[in-house]
Amino acid sequence: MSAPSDIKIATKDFRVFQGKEAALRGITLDIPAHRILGIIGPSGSGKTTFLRALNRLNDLVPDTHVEGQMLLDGRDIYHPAFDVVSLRKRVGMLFALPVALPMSIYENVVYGPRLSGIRKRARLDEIVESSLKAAFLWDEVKDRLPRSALQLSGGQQQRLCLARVLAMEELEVILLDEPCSGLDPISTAKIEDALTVLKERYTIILVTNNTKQAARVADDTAFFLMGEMVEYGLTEKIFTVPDDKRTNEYVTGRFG
Amino acid sequence: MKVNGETLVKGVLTAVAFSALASLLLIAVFIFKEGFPFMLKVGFSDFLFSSTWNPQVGQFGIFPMIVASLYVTFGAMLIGAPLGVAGAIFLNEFVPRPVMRVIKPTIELLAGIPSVVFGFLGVMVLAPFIREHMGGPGLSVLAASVILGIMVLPTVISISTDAISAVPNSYREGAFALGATRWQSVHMVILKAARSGIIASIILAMGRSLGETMAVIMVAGNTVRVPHAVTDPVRTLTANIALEMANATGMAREALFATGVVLFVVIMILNGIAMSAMKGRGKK
Repeated sequence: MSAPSDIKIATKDFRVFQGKEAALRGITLDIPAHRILGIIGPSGSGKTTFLRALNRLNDLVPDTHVEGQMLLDGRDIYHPAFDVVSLRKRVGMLFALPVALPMSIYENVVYGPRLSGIRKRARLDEIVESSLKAAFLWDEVKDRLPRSALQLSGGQQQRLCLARVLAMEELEVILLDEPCSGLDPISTAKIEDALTVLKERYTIILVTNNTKQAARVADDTAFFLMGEMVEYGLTEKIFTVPDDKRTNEYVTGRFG
Repeated sequence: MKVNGETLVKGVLTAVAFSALASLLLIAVFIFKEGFPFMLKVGFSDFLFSSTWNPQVGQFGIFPMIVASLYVTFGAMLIGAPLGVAGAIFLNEFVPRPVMRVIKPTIELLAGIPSVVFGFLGVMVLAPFIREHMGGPGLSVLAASVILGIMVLPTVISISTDAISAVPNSYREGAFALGATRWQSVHMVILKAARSGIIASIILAMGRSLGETMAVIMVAGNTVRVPHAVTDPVRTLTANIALEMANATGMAREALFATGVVLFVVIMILNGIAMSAMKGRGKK
């Protein structure tokens, strides 16, 4: 058991509606800083919706609205005065399918810093090197930074996307939406290794369909089902002696 | 019986498909057959680079008209391309889908308005405006450029819109997730990804304005002279053919076919560029 950490993100009876249908039915959850939270649950359980709500990507989906509170460092990110652009710089997201932007490897990594107005070449070079190293990708691409990012393999593209997120100086929270679903075991292992190092500096939330992955890397685990959070606790507990029968059935692979 | 039906349908469709190709070939062969010997007779440089067009006395220099066509087309692009691309970006990225679904067909309707109506608008509204505010006869390079710039808007907007909406949504989300504003996602990601489609739309629009005849005859003034200002009247290649065809005989008639050859070649070159730009998109 680690000592109780600071609460980075807190949600209070948080709900998301798509049209009239509720995708999340009241999630109340405290997420501590500098830990990895794994969110597991079957398809349609609302785990991706929850993740996307954390950096307000749901805003882009027409006909969506939220209720309840979602606090980042105690401030409600859905408050009208909250600046979405700065939120997304603090809360970075990695998608299930790697989205390498149609530009060079170098440009992909400095995309975020450039948006923040960093222009100095030397500074950008530095960011590229440190981010790619942190994403365990530097050795594979250091000789071909000016080449198109679209030529990289799927696993490399996903680590490039991670590097791109890490390149943002304001970054505090990393959201990962099934980041390894299309990757081979070796690429998966590299991403997982990167995450366990990165939690020293960031708060990490990992949505995964692979319960074993959650068991491997997450400190805490939350089990979502049909838009509700069934159970939340230390990973060892969730995977060994869960309170709820449904959690037990899910983690032992009896349904979902 | 069934096999026969299949063969029949296949044969008919093949014939129909090839008829388009055949008519293109026929047009090319016909124009070249009528125009090419003339070019050889007069000499390429006299025909292409001499500035005196006086068919009655055997002077056939179409240089002013080549220049006029290029100026007018360039002017039309200067107006139509930025407006069209901006419109496409606006429709795709800044307007809710339902609104776009109303606006886009409306813009495409613009393509259905006969060119003579655009010409009429130019003669009645634009030319007097230019005459009063900028001098000259009003009918001019500028008037033709503006009218053509508006006429090509539907082409630019609808093809650019298709290219932009073909950009995967994940690129947008990827950019937004990194803290891009809407405009930053547009000019750093969307435009890059849709570039070849947008270029193709502009080149197609160029072909259209180069080939446009009726509206240009009405607003360009039709004087055969190399223009020195945007308010000078000009005659384009297309206008030359249309205006003189009715009473041209002998050499003069052949000269018009030769004008057609020049036009044909220029348009083929533009289409070639458009196609290779489209292919570039497939590769990326």
